[in-house]
Amino acid sequence: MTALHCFHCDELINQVQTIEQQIHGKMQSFCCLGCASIAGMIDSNGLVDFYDFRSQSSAKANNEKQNSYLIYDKTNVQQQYFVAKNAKTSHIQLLVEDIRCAACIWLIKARLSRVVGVSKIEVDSLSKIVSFDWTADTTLLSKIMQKLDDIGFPCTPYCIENEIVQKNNYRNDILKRLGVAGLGMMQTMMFATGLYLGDSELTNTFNTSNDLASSDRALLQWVSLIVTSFVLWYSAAPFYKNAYRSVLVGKIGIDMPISLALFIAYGSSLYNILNNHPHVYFDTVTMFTFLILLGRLAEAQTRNFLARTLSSSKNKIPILARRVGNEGDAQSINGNPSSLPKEDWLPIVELAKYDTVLVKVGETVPIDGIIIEGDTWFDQSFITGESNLVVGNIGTLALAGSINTHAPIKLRTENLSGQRLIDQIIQFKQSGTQNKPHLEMQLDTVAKYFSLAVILVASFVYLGWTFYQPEKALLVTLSVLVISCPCALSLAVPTAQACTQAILNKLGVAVAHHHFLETLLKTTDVLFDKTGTLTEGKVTISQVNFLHREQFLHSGEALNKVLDKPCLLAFIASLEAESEHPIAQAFLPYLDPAIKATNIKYVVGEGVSGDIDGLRYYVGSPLFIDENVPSAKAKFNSIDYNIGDQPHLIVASNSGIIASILTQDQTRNDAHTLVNYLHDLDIQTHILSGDPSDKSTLLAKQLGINNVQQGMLAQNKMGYVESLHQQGRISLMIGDGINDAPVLSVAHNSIAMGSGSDLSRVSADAVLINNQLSSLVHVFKLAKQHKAVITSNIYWALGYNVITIPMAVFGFIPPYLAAIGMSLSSLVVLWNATRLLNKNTFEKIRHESTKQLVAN
Amino acid sequence: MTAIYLLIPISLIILVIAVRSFVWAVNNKQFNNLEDISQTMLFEDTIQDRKELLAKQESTAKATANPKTQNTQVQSPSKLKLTKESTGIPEEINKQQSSNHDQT
Repeated sequence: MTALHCFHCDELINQVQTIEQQIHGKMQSFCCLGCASIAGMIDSNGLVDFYDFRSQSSAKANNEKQNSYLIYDKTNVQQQYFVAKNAKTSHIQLLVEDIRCAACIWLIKARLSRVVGVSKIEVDSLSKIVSFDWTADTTLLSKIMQKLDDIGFPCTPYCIENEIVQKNNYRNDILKRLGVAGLGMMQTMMFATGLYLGDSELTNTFNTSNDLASSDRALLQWVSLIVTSFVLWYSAAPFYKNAYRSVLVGKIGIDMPISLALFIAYGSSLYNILNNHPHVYFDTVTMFTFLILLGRLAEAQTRNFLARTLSSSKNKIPILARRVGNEGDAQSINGNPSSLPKEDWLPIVELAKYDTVLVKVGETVPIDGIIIEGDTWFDQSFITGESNLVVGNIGTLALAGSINTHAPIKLRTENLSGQRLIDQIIQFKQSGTQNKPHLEMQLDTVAKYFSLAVILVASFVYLGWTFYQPEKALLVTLSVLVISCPCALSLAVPTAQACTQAILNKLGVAVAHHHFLETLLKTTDVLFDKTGTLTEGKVTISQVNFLHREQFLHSGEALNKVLDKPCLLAFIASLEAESEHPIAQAFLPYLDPAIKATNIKYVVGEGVSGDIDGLRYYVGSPLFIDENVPSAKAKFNSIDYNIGDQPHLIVASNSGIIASILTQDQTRNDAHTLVNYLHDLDIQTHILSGDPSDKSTLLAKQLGINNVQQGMLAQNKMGYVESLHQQGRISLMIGDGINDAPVLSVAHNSIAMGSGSDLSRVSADAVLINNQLSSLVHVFKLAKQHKAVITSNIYWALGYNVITIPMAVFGFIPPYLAAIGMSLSSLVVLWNATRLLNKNTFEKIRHESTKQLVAN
Repeated sequence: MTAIYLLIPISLIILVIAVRSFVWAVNNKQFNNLEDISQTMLFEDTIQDRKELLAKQESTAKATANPKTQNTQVQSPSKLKLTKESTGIPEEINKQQSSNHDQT
């Protein structure tokens, strides 16, 4: 018989435990009761079509934990999360991590739409947020959440981050302006077609008789004027607002020539209408606005995308805490156990000093506190970026944001909400963003002088012609302005940007700030975080040495298995199956359902023991084995086994030591490629690691990185980069942890890993979505081409002006040629930028980099 | 050419309507999530098709009183109620399920 898969989660079914249940009139097999009950629930709600629609299997049901949603019915808890719309209705956002494909969205919508009191349901598969309007006195919120849980979607309320809202609002704002500009552009172009074809000069040249009646021309012109005025007033507003602001600060940026171009083209058209001249440039005004906005939208879209892909509840610090009492009333508790205060969920802002907070296994610590009960391990990767677990005993400070991995603990609150270490890091990040140095872009420099030059030339021309031929002065000045219109110049960068963005997306890199590529080329120093950036950030097994294989052979006979390496690893995996320790995770792939361990006992910070097939096994540090395995006592000496400095895990059974296992945080396999490439470019490399151990030095030696800094806190990293800036160096920081967020925001340029923390990804200028460091080599090459295209665009725009302006100054260029020239020069810029998209370019980058990979 | 004195104002009115409806759509979050909607909307169509097929089948079943087609209706009472809403996959459509049926 072929292998059976679970109808719901598609996992292989253990033949012994198959559960069968009727779903929509057919018998189906399930791996566990949880999956069966979910499928039954979906079916009984008449939503069984879900199983046809889905393109990915569903998440396996959680059979152990029963989620309780009752706490979310409390008003003070709800106030933390939800925005009240009016007295009864509030906007609810739930984070549902198991949304996997479009069918899940359909299922959630279909289920919720049948619940009384729920309306306007929206599901976003990218941010995994389900939002709806909820009327308070209809269905209890906990019931609604339970209903989602019943169909296989455990959920938590979600406090939407300001970043997401802001970026979404900005994007929508640009989108509206773009839409208006686009519609206006189509209209004016339609009118312009009539005006161009009916142009008297054109019809005379080609001897046709399509000349427009002057009243008809006036109509077309006036209507274009109305449409364009609206576009200019609404769509182009951000440009001259920015330009005005930049003039006030004394820094002229790219928005200055853009505004200048718009006003020149619009103003001269207006003048021509009023003076009965036939030429108007309204089509140029609207098209130009549209194109520039298109470039801005592309950038806003990337930022919006990055902000939305965040959110995973594991990366979130809870805003609720389980309060079990206060130090002050500890005496009375001891005296009279019955007065023990009930467990009570409170928003952390309502916690007082010396409150006692209970944190269960698998939960994230909500507040900084001293442990007063329990021993455990903390996973602090969220705060420090280091994957090694940290031991927490009575008296140690537990930091908000660390995950409690082993045993329930009680904390006495130390730093209240707002003063926690995590809050400090976020503050550092914000101050970093404000202090971020900005290098002047090539185009900004050109734009500054160009704008000034245009204004100067135009005023000289006007003055000159008033002395010579006053009646022609204004006309000639206008044609000079039209010719010199900085349209082409303003389009030089956005067009190249849009094309580069397309290639970057293919490379798996999202760039959130337009200065990124240009600054990249000026980089003198690249700074790496260690764990999660240069390394994978997860532990893998690198070596298994059998020390006394015979012990193992002796013990495993009854299981009827080949007693080799995989089998040993499977033994350990079954011992570690329930543990969240990163070392335990390394064994997970070797798990064999046929081997079951019982009587498992963890010793925090040391090891684990358990029974397999009647024999007791021990896995842990040499010290742990020394203390627990009687036959190993006195016999065990790490030197005897050639174990050296690196931390080894020892496996032993009751009868003696079996093997030693070496685990390692794997270095990313393409870290070498990148570091070598950077050294070829004469770029200095640094490691800034939060890990105080010597691992970073070893890694630096291995990769050939020049400078290493160990045990750095978030503010140290920031200080290090700032001191580099003072020496005139240009920095590029690559990191992933929340502790990297401040330094990412202060560096000239920064890249976050796609697998990194949410905060680091919103702080960075670019994100490596695919986590491939070698992609950066391509990005460097692309940046060079990008710059070449921008430079040639700028030269073209300037060169064109250098030739045509003198001709216009002396009145050689008729206005219609000026208009054609203006459009043509913009088109050339566009065409030049699309050269970047040329397939050959992309293939060339790829080809060269593979060659380099081979060479390395 | 006098037609343009009528047509151009009409085009302007249409332009205003187009701009207003676009702005309305953006303000009402119609553009917030373009990826998911494009996929889920097809599901509703499929369900509609199935419902129609089922209705057809039911009517033919009533007309001919064929015991075989009645088979689809022999379900628990709760399901009978729900077929009205969205369920009811006729065996002809769902290949996977019909093959499972053959096995049983």
